[in-house]
Amino acid sequence: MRAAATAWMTLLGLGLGLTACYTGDQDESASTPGTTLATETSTAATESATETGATESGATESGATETGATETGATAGDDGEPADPLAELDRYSADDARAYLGSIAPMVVGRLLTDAELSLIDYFGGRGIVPVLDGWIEDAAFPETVRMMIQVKLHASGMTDAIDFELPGNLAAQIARDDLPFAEIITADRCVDGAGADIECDTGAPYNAGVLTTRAYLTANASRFNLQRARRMMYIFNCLLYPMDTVLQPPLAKDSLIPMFRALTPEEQTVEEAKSGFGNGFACYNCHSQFGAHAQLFVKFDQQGLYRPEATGLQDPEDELGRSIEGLFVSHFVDSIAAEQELSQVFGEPVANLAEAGEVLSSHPTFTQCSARNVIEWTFGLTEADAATTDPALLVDIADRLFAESVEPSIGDIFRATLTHPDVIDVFLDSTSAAPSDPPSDPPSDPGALQ
Amino acid sequence: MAPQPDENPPTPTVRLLCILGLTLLGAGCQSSDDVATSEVDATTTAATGEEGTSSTGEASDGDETTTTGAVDDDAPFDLERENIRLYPYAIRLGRLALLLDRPPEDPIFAEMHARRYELGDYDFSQNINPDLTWSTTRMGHWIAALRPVCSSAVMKERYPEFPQGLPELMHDAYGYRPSSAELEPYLGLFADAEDPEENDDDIDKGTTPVDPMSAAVRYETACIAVLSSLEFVAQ
Repeated sequence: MRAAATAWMTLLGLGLGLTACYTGDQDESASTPGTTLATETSTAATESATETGATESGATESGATETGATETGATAGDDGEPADPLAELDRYSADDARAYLGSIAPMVVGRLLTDAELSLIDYFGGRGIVPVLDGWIEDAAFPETVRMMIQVKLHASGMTDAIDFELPGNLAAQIARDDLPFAEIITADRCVDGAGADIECDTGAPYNAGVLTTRAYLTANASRFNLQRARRMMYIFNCLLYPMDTVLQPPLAKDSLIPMFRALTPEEQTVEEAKSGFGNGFACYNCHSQFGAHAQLFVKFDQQGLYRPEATGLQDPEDELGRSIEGLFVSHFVDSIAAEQELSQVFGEPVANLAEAGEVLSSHPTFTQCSARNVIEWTFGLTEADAATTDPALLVDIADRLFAESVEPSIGDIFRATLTHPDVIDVFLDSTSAAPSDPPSDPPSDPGALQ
Repeated sequence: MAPQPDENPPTPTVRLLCILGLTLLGAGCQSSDDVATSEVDATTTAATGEEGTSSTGEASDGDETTTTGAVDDDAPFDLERENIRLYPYAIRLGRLALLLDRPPEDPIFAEMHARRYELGDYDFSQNINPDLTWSTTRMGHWIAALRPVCSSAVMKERYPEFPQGLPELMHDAYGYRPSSAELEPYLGLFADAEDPEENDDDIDKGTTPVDPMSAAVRYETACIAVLSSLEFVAQ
């Protein structure tokens, strides 16, 4: 008999020797999760997505691509040195800067450019974009922008008799206002009331994970097998869809899953309900071997978003597939002991619960890259599907610039780095048929003054 | 003078709003499609044909489009400009409030608040999602919500007289000084209004009552037109 720890690791697909786990068609390299995942091409994921055409898994949601699964392209200088964020703005004239900032100001600070900002632009030309953005991030309207951005992204606002759907937005606004690391949006061990004060969260869980452990998020995304909670968590905060790169997210052992999620072909599908149209009917394993690990984190939360320590994660024989007793949802694990635990793994790291999962998710490069994509989506009014086509190389470059300055960027930092990136500005100027002008012959006399 | 949805023919106020592209479906415009394709300067208005259709590109007659240019295939993201997309309700309201230097909670915005969901605001707890399309129905609600704002003492105090004050209002609303081409329709509006009978060739004089345009109506019409333009309401 294997040691308990080894059994758990195996169950969670933590590759303690793939000899003990189902290997399926995993590539050999998949057994060694690395740290450069975000910059590797995800051939496996792409092929799997094409093959399955998954719907239940969310793999077709927005037709999104994996942010982190692309080779880094546009980093700063060819010599490996980070680009000078001010010098690279010299290519823009004051007219360019005025048009660009004037266009995005309402979405960032809810107003037009002020006279002082126009003066900055007139004086500094393209370089004026940076101090104007800096000022916006200090603007009292900025936290409200972040509140709205998160509300819309999470579909959480308002209030019912039972649930305060404002909690996610309140936390987002506080994080922006106090210039806290944006990672706290899924790691904060607190909730925030409408006045900005810290309060207890509302799920009754013995831990917190920012917006993830609010009833607003949990009820808005309640679904069988906890699929929607897992899918939206991965999509909103890391821009990842199932199936993911198996190096990034090692699959759970095949025989650890309930039978319906083990199937890779129609012939392998042994569950009658699954054969008759539930989910994809086949190729379930491709997505659910990863889904299962993330959905497991929600196994103790019922459909009202309340924490239920007694949850078993087992199917209610009287209810439809994926539903456990008393408004709870079913685990992917076949083992009854595993099914009732919150223990799981995220990106190959074992986690005890959703709080630890939030730490792993927010510390991965895809979190910051995804945050930059969400900023683009909000600022330019893109649909989620359009935003999903954003070039990953741009997002990787923005994240790299952020990490060069801070290990824990704030949402203000992310707005600044994103909206001062030349590739972003170029998209706007190109779209208005106002290509950036030639660099001014006389650059600002004291460019260092802005730094 | 509120637009009368069931009146036929339209009152002069409604006619002028129609001319300015503020097509009020069911509120007396001859044809929203006609207006959208023949009389509207698409750079300043959002006239479109049908409910739920916000792309002026579809109704374009060649010189009217909100498409802002071809997008580079290599662009790192696509700035879709085929469809008009409003600013979120809270931002539109906030800009109005800033314009008048009043808080968004000020009573002059009560009608705006009352129609907030018709204007595209959201409350996810009630399953009301944001809707940023610029439909004819939404235009109607927006205009109705603007009427008390435009007829308020606050507005008159800030912009005492039109057309003299129009450039200032447009500057404050759009962030730039309007060109003479942008001002022209408004000046025409005021010229028509000063002597409406001289410009009634397209009205069946046998059935259409002439409604002399009072200064207050002229003011309100211009105000609504400026604050309903795409420059003010749309991204």
